[in-house]
Amino acid sequence: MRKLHLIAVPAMALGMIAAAAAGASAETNTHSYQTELKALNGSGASGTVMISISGDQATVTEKVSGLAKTFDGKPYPHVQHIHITTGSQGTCPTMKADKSGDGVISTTEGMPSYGMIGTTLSTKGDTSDKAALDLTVAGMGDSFTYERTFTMNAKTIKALKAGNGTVVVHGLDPAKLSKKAAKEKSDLDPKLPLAATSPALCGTLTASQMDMPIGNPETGGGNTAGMDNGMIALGGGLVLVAAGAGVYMVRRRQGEQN
Amino acid sequence: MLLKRSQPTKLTIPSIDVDTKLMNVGLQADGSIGVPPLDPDAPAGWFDRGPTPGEKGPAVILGHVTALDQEGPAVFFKLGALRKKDQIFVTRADGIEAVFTVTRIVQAPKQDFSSIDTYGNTEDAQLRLITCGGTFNKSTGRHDDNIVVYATLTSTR
Repeated sequence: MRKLHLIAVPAMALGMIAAAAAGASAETNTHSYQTELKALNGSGASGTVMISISGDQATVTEKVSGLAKTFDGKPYPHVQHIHITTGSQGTCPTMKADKSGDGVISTTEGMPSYGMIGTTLSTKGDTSDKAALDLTVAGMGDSFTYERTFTMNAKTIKALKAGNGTVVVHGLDPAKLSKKAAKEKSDLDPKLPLAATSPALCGTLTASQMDMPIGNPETGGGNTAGMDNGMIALGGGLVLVAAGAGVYMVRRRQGEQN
Repeated sequence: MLLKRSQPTKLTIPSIDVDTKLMNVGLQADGSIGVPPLDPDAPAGWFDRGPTPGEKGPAVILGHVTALDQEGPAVFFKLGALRKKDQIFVTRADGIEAVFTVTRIVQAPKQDFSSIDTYGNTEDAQLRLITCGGTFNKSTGRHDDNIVVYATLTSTR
């Protein structure tokens, strides 16, 4: 499992204190989108994606499992993108898209359905289409959780609003392909096999029925060790919850290293 | 069955002795869901950035399990005792009482909390009641689990 948490803990705690002071919901214009990722090309994988956008800041939360696990003995890099269409409805391709007849819908063959790359869901750095094939910032292994907040480009935001954004996760197990397809080179990069870049998961993002909250609800009775009781009496509950949340993030990070 | 949008005002769950007014909660600045205050008499909170109970989609109501400093039970102390087919009643400002029937109860460690299961789109009118559960962890100041009760609108009265 690989996890990314790019929300700074102190900022989170401060944010909650500020919200407590305001007494109500933060007045931001949030848009939320979601999709269930379905297997393509017989990958057998599955997953979910949620995206919350406030202004140009997008928080993407994704969970996937059942993907190809290793590539040359190392964790398999699964490059992943939000593809966007402009003149047509974004969808996931069916086997009819396999024009070459090799039994695999290549990335290029899928493009009439899901369109060009709008955003690369990279684990760090560039999120533009320039990072599309950078294997070092791909999701790694058969199962991973991806969580990242970044500045999303305007064309992707526009496509999401129109219901034309489609998440595609790439990378197939060559052993599951036909002999012919297993030997083919990638349509995107001739140095890579076809399996490496072909789509394994796909889902078109739809608007959520609510502004999606991020993370866990804090509905316990707060009790933070080390905090002065007098301060609790004066400070009120939500400040305490904020402290608890900070502790939680730290604990979760420690958990990842185990 | 779907209802129009209307502010929920009261939540009643006879099987676990819940009878509470509802306050509105929203999103915190960091994007996490808002929660009611931590005093023992605090009401449950309806998440007002989502569907109202009876509208299409998952309406979310949160309540604390225990009050500040573990000083006694809070509004959703008994939530984990709900069972499938128990009924949940939500009174709305338009005078309609929406009746939900429990379909499942999930208690899971916080790291396994599924946002998409809890908050994801639904085809019908559903309800999610959320609280904390499991062991209260003194070192983190938190409960280890979240309890989520899933229910579906089955009638009105």
